[in-house]
Amino acid sequence: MMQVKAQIGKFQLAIMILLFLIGNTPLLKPPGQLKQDSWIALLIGAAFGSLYLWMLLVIQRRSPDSDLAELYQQLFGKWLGFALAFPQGLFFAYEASRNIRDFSDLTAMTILSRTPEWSIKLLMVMLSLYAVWGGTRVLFRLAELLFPIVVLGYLLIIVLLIQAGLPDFHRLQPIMSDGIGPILKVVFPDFTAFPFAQILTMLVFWKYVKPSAAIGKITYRAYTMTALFSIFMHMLVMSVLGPGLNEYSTIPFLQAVQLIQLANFLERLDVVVTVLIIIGLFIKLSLLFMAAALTLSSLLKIPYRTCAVVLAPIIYGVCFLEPNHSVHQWIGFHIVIRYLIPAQMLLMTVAFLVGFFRKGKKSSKAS
Amino acid sequence: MFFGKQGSGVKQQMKNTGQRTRAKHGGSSKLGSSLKDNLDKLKTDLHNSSDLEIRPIGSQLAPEVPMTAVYIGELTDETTLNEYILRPLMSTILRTEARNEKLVHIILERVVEVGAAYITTDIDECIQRLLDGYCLLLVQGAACGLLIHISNMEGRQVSEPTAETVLRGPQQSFNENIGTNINLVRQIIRSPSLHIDSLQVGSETRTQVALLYLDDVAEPEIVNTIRSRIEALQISSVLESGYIESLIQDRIYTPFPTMKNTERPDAIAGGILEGQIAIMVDGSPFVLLAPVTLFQLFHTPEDYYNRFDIASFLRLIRFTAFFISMTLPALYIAVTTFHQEMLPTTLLITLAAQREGIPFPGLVEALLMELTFEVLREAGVRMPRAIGPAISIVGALVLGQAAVEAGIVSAGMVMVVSFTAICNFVIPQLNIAISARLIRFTFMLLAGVFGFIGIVSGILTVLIHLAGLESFGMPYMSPIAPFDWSKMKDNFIRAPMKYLLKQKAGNVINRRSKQE
Amino acid sequence: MKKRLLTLLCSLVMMLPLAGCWNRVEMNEIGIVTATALDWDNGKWVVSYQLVIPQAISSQSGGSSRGDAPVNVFSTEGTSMRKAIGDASREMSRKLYFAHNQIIVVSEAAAKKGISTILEIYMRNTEARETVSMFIAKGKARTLIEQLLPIEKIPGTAIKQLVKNEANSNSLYPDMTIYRILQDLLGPGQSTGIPQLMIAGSRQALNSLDSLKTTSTAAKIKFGDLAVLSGDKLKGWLSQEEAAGVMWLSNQIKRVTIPFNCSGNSEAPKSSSVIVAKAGAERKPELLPDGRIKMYLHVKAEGTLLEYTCADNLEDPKSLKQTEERIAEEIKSEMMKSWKAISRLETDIVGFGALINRTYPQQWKKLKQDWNTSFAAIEPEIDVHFKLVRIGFSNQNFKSIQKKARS
Repeated sequence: MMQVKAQIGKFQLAIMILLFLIGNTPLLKPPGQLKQDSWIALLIGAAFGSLYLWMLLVIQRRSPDSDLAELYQQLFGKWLGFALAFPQGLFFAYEASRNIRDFSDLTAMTILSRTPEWSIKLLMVMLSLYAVWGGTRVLFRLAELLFPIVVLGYLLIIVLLIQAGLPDFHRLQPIMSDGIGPILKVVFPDFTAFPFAQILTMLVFWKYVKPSAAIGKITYRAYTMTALFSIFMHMLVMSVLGPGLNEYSTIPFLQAVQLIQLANFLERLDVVVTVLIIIGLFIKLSLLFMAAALTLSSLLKIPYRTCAVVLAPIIYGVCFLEPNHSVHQWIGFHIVIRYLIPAQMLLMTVAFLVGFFRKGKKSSKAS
Repeated sequence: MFFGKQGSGVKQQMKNTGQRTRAKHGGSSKLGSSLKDNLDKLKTDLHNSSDLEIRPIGSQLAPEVPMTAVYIGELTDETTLNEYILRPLMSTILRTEARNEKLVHIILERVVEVGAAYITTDIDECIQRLLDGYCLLLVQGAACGLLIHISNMEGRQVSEPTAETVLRGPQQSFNENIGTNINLVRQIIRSPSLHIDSLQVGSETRTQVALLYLDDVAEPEIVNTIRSRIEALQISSVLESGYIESLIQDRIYTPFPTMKNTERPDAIAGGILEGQIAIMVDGSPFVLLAPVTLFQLFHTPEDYYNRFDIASFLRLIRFTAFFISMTLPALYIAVTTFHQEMLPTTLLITLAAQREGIPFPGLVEALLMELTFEVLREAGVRMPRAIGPAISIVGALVLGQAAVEAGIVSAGMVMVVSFTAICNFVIPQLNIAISARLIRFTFMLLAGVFGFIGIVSGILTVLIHLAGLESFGMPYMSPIAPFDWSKMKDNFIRAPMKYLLKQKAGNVINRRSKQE
Repeated sequence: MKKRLLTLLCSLVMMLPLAGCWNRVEMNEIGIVTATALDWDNGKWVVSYQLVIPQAISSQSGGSSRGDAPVNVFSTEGTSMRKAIGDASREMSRKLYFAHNQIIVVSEAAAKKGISTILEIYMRNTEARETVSMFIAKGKARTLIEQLLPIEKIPGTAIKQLVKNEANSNSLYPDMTIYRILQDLLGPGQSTGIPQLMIAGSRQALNSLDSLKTTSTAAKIKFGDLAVLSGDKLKGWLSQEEAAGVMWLSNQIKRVTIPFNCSGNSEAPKSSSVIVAKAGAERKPELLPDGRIKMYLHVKAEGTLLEYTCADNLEDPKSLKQTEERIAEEIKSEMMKSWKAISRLETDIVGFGALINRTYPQQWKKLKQDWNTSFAAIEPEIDVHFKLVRIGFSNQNFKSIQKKARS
């Protein structure tokens, strides 16, 4: 079938960034040692993240028509670029598979305790393969379709939480009882790497955005909104649960919503949360999957659909590797967030500098 | 009858397609100058059909020249033939020395008293026109024939719409005659820029298909796409607009219709005014409208006749009803067999009490009831009208009440199924209502296996599918995806007319200035 | 390729029902638990369940005419709570379903042993809700969930309604959900108060339908004292009078009726009363340099007069002021009474620890080591302002008007 040239509008890009970054943030439970101050860490993390984003945007602006794989090859030469971009593509796929794992663990813990995990994972992989099959255009349109659902879902939860009188913002006090020291200690990489540094994925898709001049502005706006929203949600949940209970529960957001009791009818809202989480995870998973497929297809010069079909079983297989949820989370916190994503960030910094020097050379030549 | 009044534009089109058809059949043939040869040729080509009438005429015009009127008796209007062709020919006091082709021209210009008449030399066209109900006048020595429109196709009168009724608005519907249908649309849009393209489809049925659009509003690319897709059709027969619809749609494997069909002239006119293209097929009162978005399938002409607030409210109800009719049984299954915690305690206890002693699992119970309902519904459509009430009694009493009292199904399930069915009836377009019915069963199965997650993944699948769907190059889910704020005024809600009309006028002006 | 994918998807969908319905539970396969009781008996946990019998409750199936009891209570025992619950499958034909459990009653003995296991179960399982209300029973907990309540059909739900109603209209007892207990026990104070559920009246139990066939029942369920828990164990009880001020001290009053008398004499019968409609306390701790802790409680309350037996005319601002002061005095004395009781028990169920943590986070780190003793040593400075916003439709007491009319 003929593939229509993918094109992404400004609005689509903004929505995708919002959904992608919010994605599984409800599942995110920041490391416990900060207690009620973790939102400050999140704020600083987001600020760091925006610096990183600026760097990515500069890289993108230098060659607006290249995707990630092409950028790597342009900056590091053909072979080194290939050697760096290939693992990058696989890393996208790995992150996608982590999302599936998150999802199946969540459902196993909450609503489908006796349904075999292979079936849920298979369902998710097939679903995202279907979305990826449709192409970038379908994926970004899908984000637009899902966006109203997500907005309404969160709005409902926020309104009901407040209506039920659950949040007590005193629980966020005292602010920084130990000074800013311990916060700064963990801000990098724990709070920068996830979820904000994942904005890197957009580097694969920016080249499709028209008009490309608007990318920077749109991305910054969407990024800021997401960051503020994540921080707000985090504060809200913390103010409902308090640091003690927050630390005690596996998914604080779900825990907080379970406490809503209104009018004897609206008291079992976990389903709304589950739907939000499914949508968030699904969008995130599909976009990462798409990024992996596009990166590999651009490197190996084969159609992305072939890549997607090859990657799907790999993604499916990889999410069985970890024996249980604890190991999964441990790997998430101690390997992915501490080493893999920072390494990626470092790489992008190097790429930024390489480009910077080259440009310097060029301009000096020209003058 | 109306067709004759359409003017030369149409005729020109018809000629073109005539040539095209002939080209398709290979080898062309012209009328010869021998009357006998021509008649023989016609007889063989029409396989000596018994209703082919051949009437020799001796005219005062040129008494020695034999003339013959050829027509198919069952298709023509006897009175027209007698009063306006035969009588003037036979009793004219005019005499002329002109012979051969010139004589035919004089007959056309001075004798025949029928408007739609023209001269042709093409024998295939003659045959085609004879089958359309024309009378062919052949003159000895002239290598051409005079085609006179005297057709009298059986058809019914313009009547009230049966499939789409409105409380307020015109109570007219299309009928099977394409001429009548075009006439009805022309009566509403009296604009010179209303363009009508006539095409012919089907090697056997030779059905006339017409495209109607406003020249300066419709997207030229879409018009071209539709026309070229219809022209490319290589089929033998077209009996209804459904043939065309399924053959030219963008994607075959989709449960969603990418064209709207309606029997209401005002709906078609409204669509044409908004830049859509209407496709009329002779023999069907259902006219297609393309391209459409999913949301437009939920709009009715009445939305624009009512006040905007009530119209918006009704639209929202329709969208909700569509959603309910897709998901309610699945939600019921998911909630009662997977997520009982979602129900308020008292409701759970009431439902649980109903379920005591029901032999089937919830999924089976729901499938059973849904299937029963679908069967009932089909029976209701197929049945002669007179037995209609009987089926409703059987359905309501035997299958509903008795089944509950016998403890085969629970009362809650009957309520859910009935409400789902009613919701389905709210949807104005039958073909989108059918897709909801189909999808419902898939959702029910998914809900029976994965509960809520199944439903959500089902909905996601449908949304992915919809996101990729296009109707003649227009995204099916617009104006949500891709998002277009300006079109949201007339999507989920209908803004007051003031804003809508301005928008439409603006559209026309913009397109015009673009063209200039 | 595309078609193949579609076929694959379709076949997958078709396969699903064959694969089975793993988590499916039909509604007639579950036993809906509406109340749970927990006893500690001879070194074993005894868990009792109040199971709803749907047919007996639903009006449609006409079960009540058969005279079935709406609920059935049974117990299982085991060395751990979860084990005991697991054993339930041996004696119950249906799977116990806890998502609709409304209350949990813990016996005094079990509470002394510690309620951490219950909390643990509630946190670890998603089926069990943290919105369940907890009560403590003196004596056997099981008997409490065996009682039927007049008017109501499901006793568990009824008791939940009872405590909600109480917390809203006359907030002397808090609705202690598991969530709030967790909040309190995980908070700086690490202690909480839980109302006692008791059977008042004759000990003749309400556990048969016959007992509901008369217009008045001999016994009824009601709240008694307030159990004070520290850590996760029962530490002591506050009597009803002592408990009254706790809600004031912890700033949780929504509505409460306060009786008072005209003279201000504490011995005189309190024949007038006022309903507090709006109340708020500003609570501020102060650490004095010498190590003492002061707690300033500045209470502001508004209310409406319900009944008035004093002789003066309330349209006179002076007498109005006097009445307001008397009421304020009353509130203050309630608070002091409670304060004495909880400082005696050395448990911070009023959240002072959290306040100190907020204002003095540094010093709190030291204080929390031995918080219970420090708590008992707090010197509260209470000051109450009461405002009568409405006096009702008459400005004087009925008797004085009558007297006037006679003269």
